[in-house]
Amino acid sequence: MSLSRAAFYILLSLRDRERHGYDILKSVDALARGSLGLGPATLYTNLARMLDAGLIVEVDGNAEGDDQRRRYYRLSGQGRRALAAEVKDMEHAVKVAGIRQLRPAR
Amino acid sequence: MTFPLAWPEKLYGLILLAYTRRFRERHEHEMRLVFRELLHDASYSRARLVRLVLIDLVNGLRSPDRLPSRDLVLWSGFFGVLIVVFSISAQIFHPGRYLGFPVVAAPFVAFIGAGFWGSRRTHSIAGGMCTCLVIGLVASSMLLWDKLLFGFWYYPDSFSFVMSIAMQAAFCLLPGLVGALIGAALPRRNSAPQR
Repeated sequence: MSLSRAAFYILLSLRDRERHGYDILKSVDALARGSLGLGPATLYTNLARMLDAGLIVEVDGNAEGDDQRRRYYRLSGQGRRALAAEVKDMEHAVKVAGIRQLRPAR
Repeated sequence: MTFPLAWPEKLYGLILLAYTRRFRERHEHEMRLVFRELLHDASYSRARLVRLVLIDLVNGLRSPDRLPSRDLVLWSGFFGVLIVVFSISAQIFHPGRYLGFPVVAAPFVAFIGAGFWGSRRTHSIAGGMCTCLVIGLVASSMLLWDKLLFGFWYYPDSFSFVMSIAMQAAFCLLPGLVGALIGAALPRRNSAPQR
């Protein structure tokens, strides 16, 4: 399964720990160097699709003083595998581009 | 929501009405929280926030999760075709005859009904507005049929013709909004939105 760019960065942001929506948004923004333009609605559309696909799971937030209804998300085993496969595909693409000298000149 | 809302948050709450009820039921609270935090985040300027919200809305146009479905658009198109058929029939059987009732009021009331229907069907104001806009666009093709079938042409150039179509389509929006608001305000049974 090929991931969309937004889905890839969301999974990447969840690789080390569980996060809530705002935390994911900030992390994705940093990882993608602000190039993605991910807003709240696009974020939650992607999260809902990834939940349905079993790539992430929802977990209870336990931060003190946090809104009890705030949802946290964690990478599932399936999500981890999908992320690894996507990274492998990207590495291959970069390698092919390098061999064919298609990389943009610096 | 128990916290006091700043005006941008209130405005964002109104923008959220553009999404389907199903989407809002699932994500509205979280989206409001994220928006609130972005609002107080110094690294996000107001201009950047506005851009994100606009991108979200544009992305929503391509997302079946967030917008009224193709089924709704097809039904709306069908109602538009009925209006065109009625108009053509009226021209054939009663050419140039006054129909005996105020002709502006009739579509006005009809579009209130259409907005209400779309809003009830999708559980969203956006659904009601979408219904009216599609019906309005299809029905406005009457101007073209008038020319092709009966030779009526009231426009000095093609720009005037296109503007007339746009005006006829836009005419549906105000009554459509009234109907959609009524549909959204009235209590409903526990049924799933049909999108």
